[in-house]
Amino acid sequence: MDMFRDDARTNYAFNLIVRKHTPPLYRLIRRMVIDAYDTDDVLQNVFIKAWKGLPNFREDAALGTWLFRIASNESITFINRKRRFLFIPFQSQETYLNEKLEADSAVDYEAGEKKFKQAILSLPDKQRLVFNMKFYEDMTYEEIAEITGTSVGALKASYHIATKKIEALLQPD
Amino acid sequence: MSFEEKYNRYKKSGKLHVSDDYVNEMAGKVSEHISSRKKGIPRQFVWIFSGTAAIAVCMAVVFFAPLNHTDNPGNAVSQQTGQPNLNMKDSGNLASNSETQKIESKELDHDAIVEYLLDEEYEEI
Repeated sequence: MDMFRDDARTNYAFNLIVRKHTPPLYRLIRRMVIDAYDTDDVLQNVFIKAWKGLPNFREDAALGTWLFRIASNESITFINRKRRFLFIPFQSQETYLNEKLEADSAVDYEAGEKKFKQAILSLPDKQRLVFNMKFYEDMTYEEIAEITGTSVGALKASYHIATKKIEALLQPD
Repeated sequence: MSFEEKYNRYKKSGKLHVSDDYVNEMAGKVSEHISSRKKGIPRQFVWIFSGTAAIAVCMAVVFFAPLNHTDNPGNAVSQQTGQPNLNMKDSGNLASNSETQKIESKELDHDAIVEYLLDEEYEEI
């Protein structure tokens, strides 16, 4: 951050920030919006917002946490905007994301894993966000609480409910 | 067995790999975007200019629209509105136009004509 505040090195410092934080932010956003092109757009927006907000960043939280918070908000905003724009009712959003998952040729899922991913897509957006951060990114509840602004207790409950829902959906008929 | 233990294989295989090429590409895009925003005209000015231009166009359309009406000044009744045609400056004599008289007898609002005849503008003519 000191480098960023030095006018002569601001751009260079921001470039380093982008390079360091792109992989975890990409994974988080990709798991939320599914589509690779949409992920690019959202991630770019995240960094542009960060660029605008960084001069006022007070360093109360870690830079990574702050970027994750922007990415979470941007992902959910993007999904809601797309839902409104494409007139996708809430029930069929899962179908829409499933289609995106099917069309994702970059990843070759085995049958069980695809079912697992589809079960995750059935979760509400915020619950899915919490689940992805805990399950895939191995974040602690304290870190997630700082990002989402929710209490640790509520997050534990949310994650527990999410796992139960997924297990129920994975049960053979 | 916990949920994590049970589905650990999906956790491992679900790790998305982000290549260095992608990271470089994203850094380039962001850097380009930031530098183009710095050099360009601030967005609020673009909005102000385009908004002013749009308002000016709307006002021009509203102001000049009546001049584009192609009513024949000699017609007593406007062909567009069906109302008495009060645009008589170039019309000459209202009574001399036989076609006008025909229409007048059927459709003219006599009160409007009288009002027009009493108008100062008519006196000038």
